[in-house]
Amino acid sequence: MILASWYPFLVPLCGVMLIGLLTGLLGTFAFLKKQTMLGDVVAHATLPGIVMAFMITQSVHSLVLMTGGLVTGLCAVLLITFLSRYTVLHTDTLFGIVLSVFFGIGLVLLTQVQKMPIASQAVLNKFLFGSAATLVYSDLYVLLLLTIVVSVIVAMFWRAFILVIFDTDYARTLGIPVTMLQIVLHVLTVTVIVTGLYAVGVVLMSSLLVAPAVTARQLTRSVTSMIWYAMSCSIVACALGMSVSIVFAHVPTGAAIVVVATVGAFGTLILCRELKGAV
Amino acid sequence: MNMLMIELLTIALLTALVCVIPGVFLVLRGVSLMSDAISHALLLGIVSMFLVVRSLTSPLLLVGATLAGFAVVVLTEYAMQQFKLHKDAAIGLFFPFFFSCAVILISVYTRDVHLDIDMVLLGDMVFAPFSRHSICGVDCGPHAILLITAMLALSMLVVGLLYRPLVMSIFDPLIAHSVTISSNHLYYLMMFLTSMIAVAIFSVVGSVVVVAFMIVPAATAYCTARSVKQMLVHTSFYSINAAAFGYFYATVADVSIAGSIAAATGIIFMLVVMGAPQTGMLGKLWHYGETWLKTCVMLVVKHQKGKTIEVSSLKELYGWKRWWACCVVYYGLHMTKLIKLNNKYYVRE
Repeated sequence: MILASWYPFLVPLCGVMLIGLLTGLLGTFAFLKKQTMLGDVVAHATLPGIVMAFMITQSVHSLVLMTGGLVTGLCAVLLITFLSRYTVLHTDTLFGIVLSVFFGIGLVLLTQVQKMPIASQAVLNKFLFGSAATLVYSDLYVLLLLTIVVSVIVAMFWRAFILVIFDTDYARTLGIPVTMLQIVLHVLTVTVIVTGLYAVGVVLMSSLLVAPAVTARQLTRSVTSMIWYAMSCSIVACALGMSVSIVFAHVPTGAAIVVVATVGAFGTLILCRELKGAV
Repeated sequence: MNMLMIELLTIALLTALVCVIPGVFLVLRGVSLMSDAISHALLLGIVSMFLVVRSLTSPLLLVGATLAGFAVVVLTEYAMQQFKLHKDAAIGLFFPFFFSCAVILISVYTRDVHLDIDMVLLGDMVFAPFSRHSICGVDCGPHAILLITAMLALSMLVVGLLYRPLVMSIFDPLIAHSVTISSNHLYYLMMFLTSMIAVAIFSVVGSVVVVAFMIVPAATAYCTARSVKQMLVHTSFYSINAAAFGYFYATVADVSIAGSIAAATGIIFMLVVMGAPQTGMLGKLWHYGETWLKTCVMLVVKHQKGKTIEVSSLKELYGWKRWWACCVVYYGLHMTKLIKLNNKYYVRE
């Protein structure tokens, strides 16, 4: 009886926790590569893709929109890689450029769409703030599949990934296909970000990549345990945030998750410093 | 063009110009993404001030927004220095927190008020001319123009007074420190200014596009300019062009003005990065090819001094492809190292 009344919350809760697991995993890699803002950039860069997918297919089905977002998100990552190699600009500046210009193009397309007689507000709202509450049973299968695929790939190339992140040149001398692995890592990250958009929305996506990784970094010194810590922190933050938004009716899920995750990270930062003394 | 369109264009141009100084500072200092953080965090200031004063037109909202934008900078710097966090991680940790607090406050306390997050994020220039300012019944023009002009004057004043210390603190904080200039204080001063400017323009262009206005023209100028003064001039040039082109495209195609200006800054950036004469990618490619050609010509001159050659003989001698041998011959002719005789080429001594 109790289970039945909780069922509407159980599916979104599971979905959000799966997303938390994925972002915790890939956020650690992004954190170690010192590219955590990449999540924010990709999340913004998906807007033109999502709107274009909507314009072409006229459907608001999440898989269609996600594919569009995936394409432009990958374009953004490739563009950053290309420009950082061939211009004098810092990656930081390139992140800002790609983020804002892609979003601007997305805005232009969006105003184009709004002239069409279909209600497009749904697309925009879904994109900006996510809609964890509308996750349904079939979404869980997609998320589960994604989780399995990502974990298997990461487990398969585990040592190579670590090597590529910490010492690219050494990895190259060992004959590891560095560029290939970097592309694989980027594709995984972009896929997870696009999926996560549906839970927490674009503005709050970067937080889910950063906060668990920052928390985990304070707790341990080894990469393996950092990943486990990050995944568990992320899952706990997602579950807590979700529960908060269920208990207090008007609190949006994404915002609640971010607040919980950030407070956790900041608390860990301060606590660890107090316990360890000056680092 | 009617009055409304002229006012809109003025707002677009002023917005582009007011972003020049903070943009150049952010790009040179290497903290471009701080503009993203500020422009998101200011929402919290607006919402919390609104809960205090309960009015959407109060200037206190702007004060609150500026303070919130500045607070996120201070918090990020604190985390970077105290916890040895990387810049990226520190920025990414705090501004989503500010933003989500604002979203929670909005959805819990102000559901019956017109405080729209879409508007904050996306902005809309079209409505800017309708909120007008008047003194004693005399119309002084839209709020946006007055506010942005004031900010422009203020930022020019600050940079005019502090130009040398600023440049010194950006490029060599140690030297600045040794002549008793605190680069930290200057940094916070400039970030406060950036925060004020972001507040002044975000209602016109929206949170995300503020980043495009500030960063992209300055980054473009970073690729072409050779001094800070030159960079300021180049940045103004690029941003004025972007604002004008973006505005006209938006009016012709009837799309978002802020969005199309952001897209225009991006297009100008790509054009300059590709095609700038010396620093651009195509220029570099040409330079690379030219060096290569020159080396090949010198090789031929060294080996075949005083002899006659043909394209086919070059092909056999050096194993070059036919097109490359042709290129080398043409370049040799251009350098006047080769002289054309009938169908053969004479290599000069």
